[in-house]
Amino acid sequence: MKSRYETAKNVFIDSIDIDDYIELNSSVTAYQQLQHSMEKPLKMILLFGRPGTGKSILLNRIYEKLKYQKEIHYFDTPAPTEKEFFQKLFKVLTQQNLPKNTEVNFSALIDFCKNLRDKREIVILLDEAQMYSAEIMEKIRLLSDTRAVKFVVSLHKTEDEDLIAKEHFKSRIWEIIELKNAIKEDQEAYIHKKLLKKNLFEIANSIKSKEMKLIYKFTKGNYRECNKLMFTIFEICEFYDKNEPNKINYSYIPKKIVEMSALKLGYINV
Amino acid sequence: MYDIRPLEEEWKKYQLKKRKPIYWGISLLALFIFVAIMNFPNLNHYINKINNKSIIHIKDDKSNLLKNDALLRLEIEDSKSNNIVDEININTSSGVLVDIPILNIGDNVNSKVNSDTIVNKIHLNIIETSSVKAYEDVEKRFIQSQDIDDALFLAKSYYKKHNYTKAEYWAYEVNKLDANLEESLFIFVQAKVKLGHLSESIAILKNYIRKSNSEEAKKLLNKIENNK
Repeated sequence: MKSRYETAKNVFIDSIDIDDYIELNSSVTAYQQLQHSMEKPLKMILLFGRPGTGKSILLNRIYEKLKYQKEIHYFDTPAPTEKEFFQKLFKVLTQQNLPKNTEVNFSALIDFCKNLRDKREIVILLDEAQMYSAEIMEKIRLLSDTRAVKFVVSLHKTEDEDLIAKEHFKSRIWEIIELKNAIKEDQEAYIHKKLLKKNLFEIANSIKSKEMKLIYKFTKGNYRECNKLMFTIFEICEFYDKNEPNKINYSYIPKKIVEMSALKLGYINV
Repeated sequence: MYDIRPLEEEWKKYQLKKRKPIYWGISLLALFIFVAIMNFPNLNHYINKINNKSIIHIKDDKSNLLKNDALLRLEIEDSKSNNIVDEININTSSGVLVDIPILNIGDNVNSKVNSDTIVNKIHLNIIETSSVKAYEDVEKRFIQSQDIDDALFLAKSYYKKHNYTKAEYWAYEVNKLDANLEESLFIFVQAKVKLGHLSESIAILKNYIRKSNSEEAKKLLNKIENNK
């Protein structure tokens, strides 16, 4: 027999699926800000924030929303090599596949883009841009200088390096949008809305305010961490539900299970 | 699905760790209470000590009171002696005989302010004086102090001055303060004789002799009867 917690668990599988997008006050603001920036005559837009703050899903959402209105392309995963990246880019710009056993002539590509100015307005969304090499990033900069291609670059903000300080961004980025972890109320709304979206009303109500606070304490409002923790919580609930139902109460999620999940994920330790 | 048991065990350990500060707090509190209980006799001792201290204070206060009483008395005595000295001076300067009590032991007034004071006061010499005011002062002083010596002095003085009514009165005052003082009884009896109450005097003396078998009283009785 399938446990009620199994569905709940699967709700929190981390994905950038647009169907999983939850509209929160903070995400609506970020979306509007990004959309507004894209309408400006900017060459590059930097979208940055710590991992799990919703950059990818925001890019995905904006792509899905605007794909029929604009010439917009979403590069969700970085190409493993420079060659592959330019092959991909060639296809986007020329709308043709690169012939086999050929390489993109970058100078020719620049000239091609220059010719596109005022004819086409292409937006390329580059997710996980911190994985691109400095050479690729430099070439991206040169392409953006043609003003035919606009890049929205999504980057992780890390503790060790301030990416904005990098020279190739410093002089050319005209707009910076920073995404932050959710506040407690937003995270609470996020969990509820996620569950309600799958009609898991009872389970959504079984997470009481006290446990919500604890979840926020462990995840610090990070959506990815929240997804992981919620997944683990429902996984443990599922286990008890199937094996030791006397240890589970359907009316509320016990603190014990939240703490056990936090232990499992390493938020706390003995 | 993973095995939940190790996670449960880990959670128990975590709970223990989380509650460690509480356990420590409770342990320290228990230790503190234990130490306090163990030291309870000391506490009692301490409390007693404090109480004793207060008792001592009270005692001190009492002793102070006593001392103060004594001092007061001494001061009174001092004032007496001062008065005496004053009287002496006054009378000496005016060439009139001095009849206010002075001490037997020389003129050392300061030496009176010691334990011998009472003894010294008993041996008062009475010297006649014509100063009525001096007697009035002693009478006033007696009203305040109820000093037996003052009363005895007045009884003797008035007797010597042939003021037998007053002598009788003051001898009676002495007798009220100390019924065993023969001297006052004798003045009282002799004053009564002088006032013509002979039989009454004899009766008083006989009664006293019956109780005390005093030789002095017998002699006085004999003298009174013979004079009769």
